Amino acid sequence: MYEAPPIDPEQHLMLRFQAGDEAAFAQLYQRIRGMVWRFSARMLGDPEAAEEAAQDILLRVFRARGSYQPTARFRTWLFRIATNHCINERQRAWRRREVGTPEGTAGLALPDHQDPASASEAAALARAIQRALAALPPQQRAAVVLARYEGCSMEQVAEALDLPSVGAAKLLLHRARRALEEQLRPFLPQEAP
Amino acid sequence: MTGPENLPDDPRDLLGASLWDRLGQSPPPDLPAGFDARFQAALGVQRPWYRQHARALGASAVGLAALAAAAAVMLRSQPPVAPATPADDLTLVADLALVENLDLLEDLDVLLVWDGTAP
Repeated sequence: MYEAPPIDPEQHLMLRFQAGDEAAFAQLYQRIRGMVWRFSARMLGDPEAAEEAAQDILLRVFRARGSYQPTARFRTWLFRIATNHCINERQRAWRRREVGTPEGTAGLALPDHQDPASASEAAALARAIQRALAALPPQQRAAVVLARYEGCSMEQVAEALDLPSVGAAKLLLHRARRALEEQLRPFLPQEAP
Repeated sequence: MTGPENLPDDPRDLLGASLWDRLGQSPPPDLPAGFDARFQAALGVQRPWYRQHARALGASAVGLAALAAAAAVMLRSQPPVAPATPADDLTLVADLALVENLDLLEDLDVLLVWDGTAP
């Protein structure tokens, strides 16, 4: 007997919203707002620019009510919008020379830690990671953020970044690894001679 | 030279276990206070009846999108405002757009003659 393929819960909510159920958008918003904020913050660094981008991305989801087509997983579709938006914002900011410097990440509010010593160590590592991510080319940065922090597979990374193949996504991550290892060398275990 | 066919499929293997673990020690930043309220405010001007009525009065789609963007930008710089009426809301957005120096004057003229009554 034929069984309809399961659709993901966010796609289901978007389709309900498309059909006129306003409450479905409220539920969808609750599910995705944190994810969109985290992604924007890691992509842009600067907290004000990140919030502006996150809100713009969420508004684009709202405005897609009429045109949304469930051709991919909802998150893949969302990350494609988010990646394009953040890369464009980054380029615009760079042209204005206003935000996007690694130093801009200092304003991000990191969660509190209990122990001051470990908090300062953790904060130093967190800043180093943000600086290292900020120094990556935008597509590499997006690939790392999607794969490491948002749990995307390489297929999903390729789809979200509109890459021609999964191999292209793997190459992006491979190149990002070299750059990140160089930047984060003091925080990584020493290789055996 | 490394070709993609020689690279592992798993992101963790691609980044290497040490780097993967280190990257995991960068906690996500907390959602900014007031984020939801500011989004709700920006969402207000997206509502279909705003758009339909404003369009009927001659505002362009570009103008409406820019107004919404202006509202989103400016509402972030002050405590969220809960407009009492649609007219208050639009006047607020119009003021904000002017402060942002957006090139929206024609749209703003159209929007400001509207008394804000929902169709």
